[in-house]
Amino acid sequence: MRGQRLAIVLLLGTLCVSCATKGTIVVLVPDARGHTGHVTVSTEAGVASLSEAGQAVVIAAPATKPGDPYFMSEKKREGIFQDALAVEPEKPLVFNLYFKSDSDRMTADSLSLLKDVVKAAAERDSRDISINGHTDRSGDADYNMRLSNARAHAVRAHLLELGIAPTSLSLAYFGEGDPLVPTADNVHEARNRRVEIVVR
Amino acid sequence: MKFMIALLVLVSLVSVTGYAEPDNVIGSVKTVKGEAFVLRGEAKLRAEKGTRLFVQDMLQTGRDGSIGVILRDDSTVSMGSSSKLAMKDFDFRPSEGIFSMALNMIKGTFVVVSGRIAKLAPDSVKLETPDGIASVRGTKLLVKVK
Repeated sequence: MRGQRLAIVLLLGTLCVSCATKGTIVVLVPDARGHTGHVTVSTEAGVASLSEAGQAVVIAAPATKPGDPYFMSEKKREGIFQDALAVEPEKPLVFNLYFKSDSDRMTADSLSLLKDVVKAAAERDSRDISINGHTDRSGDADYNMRLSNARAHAVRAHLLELGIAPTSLSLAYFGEGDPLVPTADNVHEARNRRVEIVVR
Repeated sequence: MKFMIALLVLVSLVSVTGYAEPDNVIGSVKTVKGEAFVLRGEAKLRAEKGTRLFVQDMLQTGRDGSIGVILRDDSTVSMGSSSKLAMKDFDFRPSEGIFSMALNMIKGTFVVVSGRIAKLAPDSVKLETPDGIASVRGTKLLVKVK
């Protein structure tokens, strides 16, 4: 299959250098925040790098070098990728809810943030919401594991009460292992006593 | 037996590394137009908003179909008509420093916006096509596989 494909590409290549019927095109474009990243494209025969908005590269076949990077116009991009771009999901929204020290009770501010979570879930018609429990590093690790679980469950109970479907919710907890603000052990840090909610 | 061992390993890991969905969900379907499917082993499931995704799943769209998914590291992937993609590898465990992601783009058109894996472990996001491999440091890419 692979050999056959290669033979076809090579045959076409001899007939017409620029109109390969097989192959891959990779285009680097700015993201929603206007930022352009970086991508390296490699084959068995070579490597090409893209780092500018609109830069594209064609790979004709695995045994050939990637072509020279060129700029593909926005109009052309939208022509080729129209239907995929039309269903591009919005990035998830993340909320951090904070807790009282050594407790599964939220701060008053965070309690009032729950209605925003529910609103965002409704606006996005979200069916997939993660609840991730965390603690700071005061106290021992096993205890904090249980505390982060209790916090996650407390948030889950609130969201269910506010009408979120149980099938939309998934729960995880990490104890003191994934702090927002890294600290030494046994340090109280309010910003790490949190439950992160990801609304997709 | 394998399952029992996996379960034991999972249980023993819980106290040390935390607990995340034991069913290993890697993402979910967010948008669907026309015909789109999740291929899982022998099963061909019609993709719907909220359908959970797992490593080794394949996504396939019909001639009028398109689909968009969000993965657990907040990356998004959407694909146009007559497209096919395999979720070859996805491992996102920030509390353990484990990050990997590989999508096998078999044919069609794709829009990928990288997420936390690409941010935390540059070049660990691999997009494979029959012709080559794109290593993604960020963020938004369009890929067409003919």
